[in-house]
Amino acid sequence: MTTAATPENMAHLWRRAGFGASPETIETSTAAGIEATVDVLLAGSTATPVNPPPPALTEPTRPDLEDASEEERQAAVRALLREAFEQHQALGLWWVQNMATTAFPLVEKATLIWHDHFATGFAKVKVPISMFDQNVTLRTLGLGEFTVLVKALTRDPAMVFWLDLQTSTADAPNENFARELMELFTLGEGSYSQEDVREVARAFTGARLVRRRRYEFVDALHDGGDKTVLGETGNFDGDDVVDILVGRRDSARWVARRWWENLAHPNPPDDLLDSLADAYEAGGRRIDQLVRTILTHDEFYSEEAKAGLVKTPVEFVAGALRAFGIVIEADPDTARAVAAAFRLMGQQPFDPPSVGGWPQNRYWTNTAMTRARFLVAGSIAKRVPETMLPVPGDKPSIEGLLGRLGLAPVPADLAADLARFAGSPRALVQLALASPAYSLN
Amino acid sequence: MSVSRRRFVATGLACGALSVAACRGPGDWFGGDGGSTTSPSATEQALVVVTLTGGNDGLNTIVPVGDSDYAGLRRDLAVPADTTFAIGEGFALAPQLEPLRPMWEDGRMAIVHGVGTPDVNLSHFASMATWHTGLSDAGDPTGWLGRWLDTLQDHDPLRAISVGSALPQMLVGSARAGSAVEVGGLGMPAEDGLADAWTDLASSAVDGDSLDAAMARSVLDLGVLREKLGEGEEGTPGGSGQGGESGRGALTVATEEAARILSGGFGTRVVAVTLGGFDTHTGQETTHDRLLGDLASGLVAFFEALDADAPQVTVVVWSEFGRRVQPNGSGTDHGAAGPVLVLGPRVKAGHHGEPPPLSDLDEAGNLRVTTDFRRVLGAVCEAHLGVAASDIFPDAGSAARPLGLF
Repeated sequence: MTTAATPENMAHLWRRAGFGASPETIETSTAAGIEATVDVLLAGSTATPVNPPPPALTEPTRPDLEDASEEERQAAVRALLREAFEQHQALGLWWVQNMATTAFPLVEKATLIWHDHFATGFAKVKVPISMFDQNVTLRTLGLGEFTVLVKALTRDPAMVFWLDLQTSTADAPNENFARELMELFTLGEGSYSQEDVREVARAFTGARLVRRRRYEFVDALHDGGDKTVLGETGNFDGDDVVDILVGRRDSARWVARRWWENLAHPNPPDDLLDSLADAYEAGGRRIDQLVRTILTHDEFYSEEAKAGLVKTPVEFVAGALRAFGIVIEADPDTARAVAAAFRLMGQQPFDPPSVGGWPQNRYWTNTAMTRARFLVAGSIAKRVPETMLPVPGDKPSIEGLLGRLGLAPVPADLAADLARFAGSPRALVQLALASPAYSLN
Repeated sequence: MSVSRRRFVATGLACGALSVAACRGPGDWFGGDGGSTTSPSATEQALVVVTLTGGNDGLNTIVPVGDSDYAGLRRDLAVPADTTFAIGEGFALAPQLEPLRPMWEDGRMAIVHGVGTPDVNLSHFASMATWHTGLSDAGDPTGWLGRWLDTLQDHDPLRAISVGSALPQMLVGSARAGSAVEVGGLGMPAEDGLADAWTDLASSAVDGDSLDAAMARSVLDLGVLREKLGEGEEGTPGGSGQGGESGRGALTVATEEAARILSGGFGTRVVAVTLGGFDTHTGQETTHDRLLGDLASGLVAFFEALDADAPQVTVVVWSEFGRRVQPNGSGTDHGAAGPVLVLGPRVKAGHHGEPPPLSDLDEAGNLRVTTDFRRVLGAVCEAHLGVAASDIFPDAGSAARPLGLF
């Protein structure tokens, strides 16, 4: 690698591998160099304990409604859904607080990328504690061997329910999970046939969920016959299929593409994908090896990569909270504001729009999304601690603020427009956060 | 039918409790300072595109009650013929579509049978991408309506609007894109002058293909939308807009917004709305019944809310694919061909296209595609947008030859 550890490159690294870093951290890591900084970022893969979940999370209950009237029944269902929704929101805030405060942001970023990749949503699952369990699986296994992660998710209660695997039996196999396993999770579209979908569905029959919370395999419901998957024939079960899929070259290229597109820029050229896939395979198909290869790649520091991604709403909010040291838990009003921000900006953690996850880049730049950014910027600006605000009219402290947001050096036009609000620090913060320049990650 | 109180226009407050018809006329609504006063001409045409995401079960929407294989193949999921409304040619409307019956009887509704993509792909995402772009070359991400926007002389953010926070790919061109407008309004409370300063700083960053330039252009577009459409009563972040309090379905909330925009005399030619949840792999009956009910009431509400002076509107209802003929238990897996609904005063009512027979399914057990989807979209382009289908679908050749829908 020939790229130099400039402050600009290190700021880029911390934004993409995390949610931005303070000027002090940028200075330290500029001195340490890219490889040493990537080591520090990856050290979190084993060192970070899982923070305790929000205390609100409870096991789903089934109230006794035997003698209840229809009205009482409906009221009970509404109350349960409301409670689940509140827990779901609390979970989103817990996660973004982790992103904003963790010393190992790459663990959170990797978990977020996997959440987008194995996109599972509260809208259907409706059991927040299962969504939390899946998040733990993603953060615990997410930087290790890909095969281990995928196998864990084939038994993950939230995932199983999300893609209807618990209804799939030898007599009536359901293709939903099988298709997405190949199309979205392991291979990519075009690397398998409809016949493969059918055969993989047969291999995964027999899954059951006990009270939506516990995975169980019921052999009597499993199709024990031979299946042919991507040309290989045998009496496969789900784990056998995962081994076949993850072992394919198409899978290595797919995983490499997903990570490059999330960390660097969309549409990586073929030869780059091949070199990433080679490194991933040589590293035992471990995700941390792939991530290291990407973050220490010269192309990762190219102009194309630096201009290649728009901040998602979660990155936007987590980055701003981190930059200003805003603590959600400290204040119910801030919690409500952050929950409203996710709703308004169209990205609710734990509730992707579909199994395809959230679209990228231009999806976030239309007129409605842009308006949302302006409003959320105002909401965040209101909550910046006094000590973090620039002194009105004091140029160095204004520059300090923009540096904290990664907007240094400030483009001349932007500086001139911001200068109009030099006397009004919170308006200045809002304008900076809502600027097109800040929208880039 | 009453109309919701909140909404765009401050001057519309006076009409709040009244029906749209009772306070019709763009002058009444937007005649205040800064509002547009241009009335749409009677010949003006507009298009509403309703996307049903997830893959709608066409067989249980436009039910082939006359096909002797239907009940046997569909088993428990077969819609009983005696609950449906016969529309001839061996087909019937699902019971939940009963509200559309007057439109059918008045000759304002057409059904195109067997519609789909030429290369059937059972992936939601691949099939959606094909429908949105209408191109064989997956490398070109422009949408079919985006390419229409590209052909026009000037850019106007009001010309093509998506109701909701997302802008569908079909509305994205190479040089231009439609706008996305949330139902909750366009309010942007902030310190005095801040929104203008934001527009100023964006105006110096609009050039080029970069992502920040795309956002800067949206900032400017948003300024125009706010000026023309007004801010609405609920200028607060996340204004409700879910329709929950009034019990209206999500699609009705969106289509009423669409009607309001098209009735406003802004020169809007295209509005896109979306209804999701059609991916019924399990428990199909309950979900699909509810969604069809939402669809029917949303369509009826749209035409009721449309101002008499509004342009002539055609509504096209489509989904990325149909569903498997034989159930997988309580649901259905991804299918291929499905019907497209076309509604409005201009459409040649009745049945179009060749219905794919249930006795001749493809190897996956799906209905065969008999009508290339671009033949429907191409017909709409020519009749409503004044552009040749061959300009919008340049690589389709005769496959996009417009159907005689108008």
